[in-house]
Order: sequence, then structure tokens, then C-alpha cells
Amino acid sequence: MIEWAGVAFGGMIGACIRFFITNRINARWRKNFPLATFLINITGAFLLGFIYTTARPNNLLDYWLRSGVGIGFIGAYTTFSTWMYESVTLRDRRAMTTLFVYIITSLGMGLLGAWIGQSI
Amino acid sequence: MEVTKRNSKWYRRFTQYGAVAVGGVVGALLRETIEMITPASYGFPVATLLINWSGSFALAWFYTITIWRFKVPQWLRAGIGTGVIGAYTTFSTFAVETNSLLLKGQIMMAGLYITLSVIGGFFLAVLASRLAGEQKESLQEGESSRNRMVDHFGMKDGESFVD
Repeated sequence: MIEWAGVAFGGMIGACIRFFITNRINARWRKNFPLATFLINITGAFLLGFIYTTARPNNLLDYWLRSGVGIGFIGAYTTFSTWMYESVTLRDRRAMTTLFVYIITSLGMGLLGAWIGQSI
Repeated sequence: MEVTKRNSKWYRRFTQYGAVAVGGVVGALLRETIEMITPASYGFPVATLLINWSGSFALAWFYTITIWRFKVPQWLRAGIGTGVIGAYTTFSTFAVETNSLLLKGQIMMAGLYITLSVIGGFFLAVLASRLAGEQKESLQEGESSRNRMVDHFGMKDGESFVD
């Protein structure tokens, strides 16, 4: 039961931080490339990879860290749906190069981030 | 415009962040519930795939329909879009799961997971925005996508506006 509280609290903080970062970046960034979501997703992938290998599930504090920070906070901070919605929006704007670059770099950098996080 | 309580910067920020916070709790708990009740089959992350597919569909539908058919206040758009659906879907788990498959040497499985997630998610988002676009009332051809771009990227300075 207690881990649900962690997930709920983490989700609240993660969603708000993403909202804050996206607002801040979008207020200045004028290009088609969705920089905010890109940065959020690759940093989140790195952090989750790091937490999943560092925190051990049998330790109580680490268990909290996994559910609250890993599932709640970072899960809510990063987003898959906005990635897809922005891709569709780029397609509608016929910005095919940006669309391709956005998908490939998010995937590549996301996997690289997770790998670095899981390796260190 | 006269600055009243309802259109002041701080009032807007307060309601938007409040909605995102509440939505974030709902979305994160919803994802955790689905992750727990969906059985993993042969090490393939079915739960995250289903979550990201359904979320991509839901977000594209919601953002498109709220432009054309239902004019909703910005706090509600942020609360459901960024809060509920944004917290519900996840990129980080997708990346870590893919990387874990790769580290275990399950290259085919990782490739299948990436392909299904990205191509499937994109296709579902296209489908959802078409669906919502067809549900709109009498709009001229071409106007849909242009206005959506304005809505999505063209926020004015100092305005909180996030998708």
C-alpha cells in the first residue's frame, strides 16, 4: 500500500516539473523540433536506468526509491504520448526531415541514456 | 485587457499547475495499476506497450477534439494532456526495457518492441487525430493542421501553454 503513495506523490512532482520545463523552453524555442520533450525524455531515460541498477529491490529505502522516484516521478516526467503527438503534428506540417530526426534522435539518445545510466 | 483575478498570470499558473499535479497522480496510479495486472509474456513488455499505445491514441484525440469541437479552458487541457495522459505514458520505462532486452542479447525482441511501440504509437496517433478531425464541425480543408500547429508551438511570450 505504501508504494502507491510513493507513486502518487512522485507522479504529481514529475508531471509538474515536466510542465514547468516545457513551458520555459517553449516560451523561447521557436523551431519546429520539439526540444522540450526531447530533453525531458533523454534525461529521464538516463535517470531511470541509473535508479534501476543502483537501487536494490530487497532494501526498503531502495524499494521506495524504485516505486516513488522510478515509477512515479520519472515515469510521469517522461512521456511517450506527447512524443507521438508532436510527431503527428510535424507530419501535418510536412516537416518530414524534422519528424525523422526527432524520432531517430529520441530513440538513439534515449537508449544511449538508459545504457549509460544502467552501466555506471 | 483589464487584469482581473481570473485572467491574472498567477491565477492562470496556479490553476494549471494544480490541474497538472492532480492529473499526474491519476496518470501515474493508472499506469502502475496496468503494469501490475498485465502479465509479462516471454519477457516482452506488454504492459508498457499497451499503456503507450492507448495513451498516444488518447492524447492525439483529446488535443485535436479540444481544438475543434469542445473549447476547454487551458487548465483542463494541461491537466488531462500533460497531467493524466502525460504521466500515464512513459518514455523512460520504454527506453530502459529496450536496453535491458539488448543487454540480455534479445536483439530481435528489442527490435520488435521498438518497432511496435513507435510505428504503432505513431499510427494510432494519426488515426486518433483523423477521427477527432472528422468529428469537428464544418471546417475548411487544410485549416485543421495549420491551426493545430499554431496551437501547439505558437504560444505567446509569458503564456503558459503546453502540450
